[in-house]
Amino acid sequence: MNSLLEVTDLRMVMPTTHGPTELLRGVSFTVARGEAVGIVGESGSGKTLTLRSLIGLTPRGSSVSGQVRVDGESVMDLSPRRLRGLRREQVGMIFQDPHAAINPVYRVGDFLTEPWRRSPRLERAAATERAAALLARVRITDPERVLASFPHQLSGGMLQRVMIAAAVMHDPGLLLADEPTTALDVTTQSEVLALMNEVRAEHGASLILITHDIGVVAAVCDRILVMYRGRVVEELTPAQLYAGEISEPYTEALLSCRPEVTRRQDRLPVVAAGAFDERYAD
Amino acid sequence: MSAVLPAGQATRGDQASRLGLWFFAGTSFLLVTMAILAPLLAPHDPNGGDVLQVLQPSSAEHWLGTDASGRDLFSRLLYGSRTALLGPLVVVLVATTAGTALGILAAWRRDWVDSLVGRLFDLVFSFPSMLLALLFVAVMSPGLITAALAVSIAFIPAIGRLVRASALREVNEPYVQALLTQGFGSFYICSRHVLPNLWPVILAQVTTSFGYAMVELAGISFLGLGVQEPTADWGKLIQTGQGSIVRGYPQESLYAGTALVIAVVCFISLGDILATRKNGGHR
Repeated sequence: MNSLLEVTDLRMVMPTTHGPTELLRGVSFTVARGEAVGIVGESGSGKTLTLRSLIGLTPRGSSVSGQVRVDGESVMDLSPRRLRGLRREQVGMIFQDPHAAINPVYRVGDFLTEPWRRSPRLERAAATERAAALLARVRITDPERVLASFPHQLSGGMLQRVMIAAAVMHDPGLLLADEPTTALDVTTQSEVLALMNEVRAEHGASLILITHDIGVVAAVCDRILVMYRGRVVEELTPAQLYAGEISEPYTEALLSCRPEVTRRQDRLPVVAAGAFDERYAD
Repeated sequence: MSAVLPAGQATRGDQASRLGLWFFAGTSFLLVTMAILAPLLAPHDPNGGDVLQVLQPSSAEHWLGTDASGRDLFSRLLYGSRTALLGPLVVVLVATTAGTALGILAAWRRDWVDSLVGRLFDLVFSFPSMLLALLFVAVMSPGLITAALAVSIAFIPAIGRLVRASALREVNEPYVQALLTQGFGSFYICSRHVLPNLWPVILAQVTTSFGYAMVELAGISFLGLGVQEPTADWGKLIQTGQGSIVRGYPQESLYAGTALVIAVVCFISLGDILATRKNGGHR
C-alpha cells in the first residue's frame, strides 16, 4: 500500500510570554489510500493543530519544522497558489459546529455553488444543479428546500450533511474531520458518522477523524492514534483496543475515563494534569 | 451578531427609535431632493444680484430676503445645499473606501502591516482636519474637491479603526477558517464574506461621518479655503453674511447657519439610531 499522507517529525513552537512553548513535539504517522485513521487525546494534545498543519494552516507566529507530504507533495514548500489548489481539490475538511462554519448571511445554495462559480466559472443554474446532485449524495431528500434555506433554518445534523457535501464536492483523496459530531445530539451523531463514512468509501478517500469519543473511533477507523502533549504516544487497531492489548499507561488512563453502561460508577476517574509528563518527556 | 429579542417585547425605546429613524430619514431625504431639484425650485438665479435690492427683508418676491449684493437668499440657500451635500458625499465615499480597505487589511494580516496601518492612523488622527485643509490648499487650489479630499484623509482613521475592530471579530469566526480550508484566497474571503458582515457597522458610521464632514467642510469654506465665490455654499454664506450682521441684517448668516444645523443634526442622529439598532439597542 502506498501512502497518501506522510507526516514526519512535525514540530511546532509558539513564542509566548513565558518563552517558547512546544505545541507539537515530533508527530509522525502515515495514512494509506482509503484508510481511516482516528486521532484521540485530551484537549490541548495537538490533535487539531496537527490536522490543520496538514493543509498548511498553521497558527500565526508559530515556527513549524518537519515534513508533511500529501500525494508525494511537500505541503510546507507549496506556493500559496498551489496550497489553495490543494485545499480546494485534494483535501476536504469537516468542522465541529456546522452553524459556525458557514457564513450566516448567505443561503446554503450560495455556499455550495460558490466554489464552482469561482473556479470552473459555472453559470448559476448549472452550479445549482450540481449542488442539488451533491446534496442527493449526502442523502438529502429535498435539495431544493435546503438550497434555498439560510444556515440558521436547518438543524445541526442537516447542516453537517451540507458540510460533508461541501467537503467532498471535488472528490478529495483525503477527508479531515475535526470532531464532526461533538456539536450534534446523540441520535444524529451516528447518522452523520455513518454518512461520512459511506460518502468517503464511495470514492475511496482516506479519512482522519479527530474525536474525544473512543467508541466512535473504534467503530469507524482502521487505526487509532493516541496523542498526548504534542506527540503520538500509541498506535493501535480497534481489535487491539477491544482485546485490551494496550501498551501505554496513558491510553489505559484515557480509556478508564469513559463511563460504561455495564458498570455502576459514582465518580469517573480523571487523568491528572501532568501525570504522564515525565514518561513522555523528550 | 445582533441580539435576538423574544417576540412581543418591543420596548418603548424601540418605538421611539423607530419614530426617530423615520423622522430623520425623511428629513434627510427631503434635503437631498431639495438639492437635486434646486434649479427647478429656486425662484431666482442664485448668482444674479440686483444692486437696487440689497439686504431686503422677507417679501413675496424674495422669501428670505436678499444679501448685500442683492441676490435672492432662498435661491442661494437651495443651491448651497448642493455643495453642502456633495462635499460630505465625496468625503464619505473616499474615507469609507480607504478606511474599510485598510481596516480589513490590518485585521486580516495582524502582523507588521497591522502595526503600520495603526501608526498611520495615529499620525493622521493627530492632525486637525483644518490643518490638513490648509496644507492641501497650499499645494492645490482652494475649492470644494480640495477641501473634501483633506477632510476625507482626516476621516479615514475613525472609519478604519472601527472597521478593523469589527473585522477582527469577524476573521476569527470559524466560517472564515472553513473558507480557508476550502481553498479560497484572502482577497475573495475578505471582499465576499467579511465585508458583507460588516455592512451594518459601516453604514451607521457612514451616516454619522456625513454629518460631521458637513460641519468640517462648512468650517473650511467659512475660512475661505473651500468653495469659492460666487458659488453658493452654507459655510460661505455664513461668512459673507458676517458683514451684514453689524449693519443690522443677520438673515444671511442666520438662515445658512440654521440650514446647516438642521442638516447636520439630521444625519448624525440618523447614524446614531442606525448604530444603536445594529447593536440591538445598546450603544
